[in-house]
Amino acid sequence: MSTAFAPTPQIRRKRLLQTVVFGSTVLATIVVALPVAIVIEYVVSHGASAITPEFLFDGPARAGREGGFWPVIVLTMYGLVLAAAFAVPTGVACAIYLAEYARAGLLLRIVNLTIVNLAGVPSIVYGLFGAAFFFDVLNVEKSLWVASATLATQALAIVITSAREALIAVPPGIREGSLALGVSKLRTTLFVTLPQAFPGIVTGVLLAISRAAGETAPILVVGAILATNVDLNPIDAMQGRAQMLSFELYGRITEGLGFEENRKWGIALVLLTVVLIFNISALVLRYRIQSRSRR
Amino acid sequence: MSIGDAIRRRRAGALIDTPIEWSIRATAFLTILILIGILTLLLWQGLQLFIDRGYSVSRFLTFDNAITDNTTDPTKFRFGIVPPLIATLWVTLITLVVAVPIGIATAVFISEVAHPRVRLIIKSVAELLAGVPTVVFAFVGLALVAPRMREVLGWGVGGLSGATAGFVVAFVAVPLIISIADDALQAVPRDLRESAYALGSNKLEVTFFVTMPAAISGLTAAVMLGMARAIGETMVVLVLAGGNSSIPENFTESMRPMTATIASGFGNATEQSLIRPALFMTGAVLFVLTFFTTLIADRVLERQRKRFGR
Repeated sequence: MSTAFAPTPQIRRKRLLQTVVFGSTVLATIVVALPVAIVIEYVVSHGASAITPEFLFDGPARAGREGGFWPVIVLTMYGLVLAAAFAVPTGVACAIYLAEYARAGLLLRIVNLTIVNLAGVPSIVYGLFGAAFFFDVLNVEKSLWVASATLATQALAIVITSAREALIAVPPGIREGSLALGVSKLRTTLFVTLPQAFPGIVTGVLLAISRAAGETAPILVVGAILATNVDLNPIDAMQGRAQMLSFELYGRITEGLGFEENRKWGIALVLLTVVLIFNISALVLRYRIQSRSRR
Repeated sequence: MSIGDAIRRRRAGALIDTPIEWSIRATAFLTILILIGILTLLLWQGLQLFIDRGYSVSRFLTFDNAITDNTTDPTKFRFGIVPPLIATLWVTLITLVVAVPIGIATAVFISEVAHPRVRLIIKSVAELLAGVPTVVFAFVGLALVAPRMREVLGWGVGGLSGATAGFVVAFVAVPLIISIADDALQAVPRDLRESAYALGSNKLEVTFFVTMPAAISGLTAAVMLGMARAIGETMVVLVLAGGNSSIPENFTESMRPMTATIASGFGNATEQSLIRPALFMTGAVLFVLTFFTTLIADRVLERQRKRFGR
């Protein structure tokens, strides 16, 4: 009885081929997932021994060979906050235009295309743009705020894209309800639509900050310096030279001898922690938005 | 409140609303302005190399080295665009050879084979991978990949070569490829797959002969955007490609792509030097290269969107 329905050799071959091909896609997936684990494991196992209160909360001594990296950590935070302060209002305003005001047409197509292309511009080109714009056009000195503004230019595309998605996802009925009560379009947008889209916008902002924190090439071009003790008063610090964790790590890789190996990995660990905190919060927030909207 | 009052209040409100609405519109123009500004400033700074500093255009286009000396003498300046350009192409080639099979295969797995929950997990993992700073990749690559390249394959200088850099850049580019390829596969309508199943095809046949051909535009765009990412990647190639400024004959040699040339030369370039405008010119070439790759990828994606209405 069973022989009548036994798979023919041809079907068996097909099944085998299917198993082999799909099995290799599983393999590829593992190859993608593995580097995350390898990078985190390697950085933690080599850098954890360097992390002491002194390493985190003291200023550098003997050109960073002793002491800690407190100024770099604080200036990185200032730099990121400032970059967000530049990029978020501009980016959200642009997203509001695209999602709420723009009518289908040539202008909208051009702006959309522009944003796609801004997202594809290499980070080092943003660095060159920052250098040309701030040092040659505006004639200002190298400083932390210039580095922040450069990072903000790069972050703009991410903020716009995610904020636009979040605004479009708000159901039209909510807007219409407000408009029907006689509320003006702008106020509807600012006080009704925007709060609804808020979690989605925050997700995009967190991702953008995470990207900016890890970005090295642009600040390399606009002139960052290695760890130095400076006045940590925000106003003075922003006008002083940029110090950032990502650049600190790059500088220490190339420095070579005389700088303890585990201190380099310690910087990598601090950088990775900062970046992943922003990144993972964004992922968690988005997951929660998705599971909320599914209900 | 009388109707007159209401109208008056409404007008007063409009007085505040209108300027705010106009500034919102202005930000859209700001993005266009930035994109145009980038190219304009790169060219304005870059073209000074030929106009003010008297460096010959043909020498820039043909010279077989790209030395980032800080010189002001156009006869002693030895910088051509070809070596960094070829180095960039080698690194990008290796990146694509590694990243495209892995990326597309992963996208096929999470979109067609895996449970939706597994798909979500892998997508998060890919995003974590995308979140790792490239300078950290460069550093880990220096510790783990470069020694193996030297011992096992004997490539490059101390394991630093175009292949080493390309291999590590592949992991920078792969999350982008997965994300776009997965979107493309997911966009293929269900009934297309089901028709093929009804004709007796198995999952493998449906995936290869129905789903993937239907998603071909999206898959192409994924590869192109991954390529743009590889062309523009800086820190990994700066640390791992080796840094030799002459023309690389093949991917096993030490080389210095465009991004790494800019990053390593810009720091000590003075205002009057020839190297500063030369690096801006290199940046302009880099910009044009990635601009057109992204532009074409977007057109290709648009085709898929129109086809499946999403």
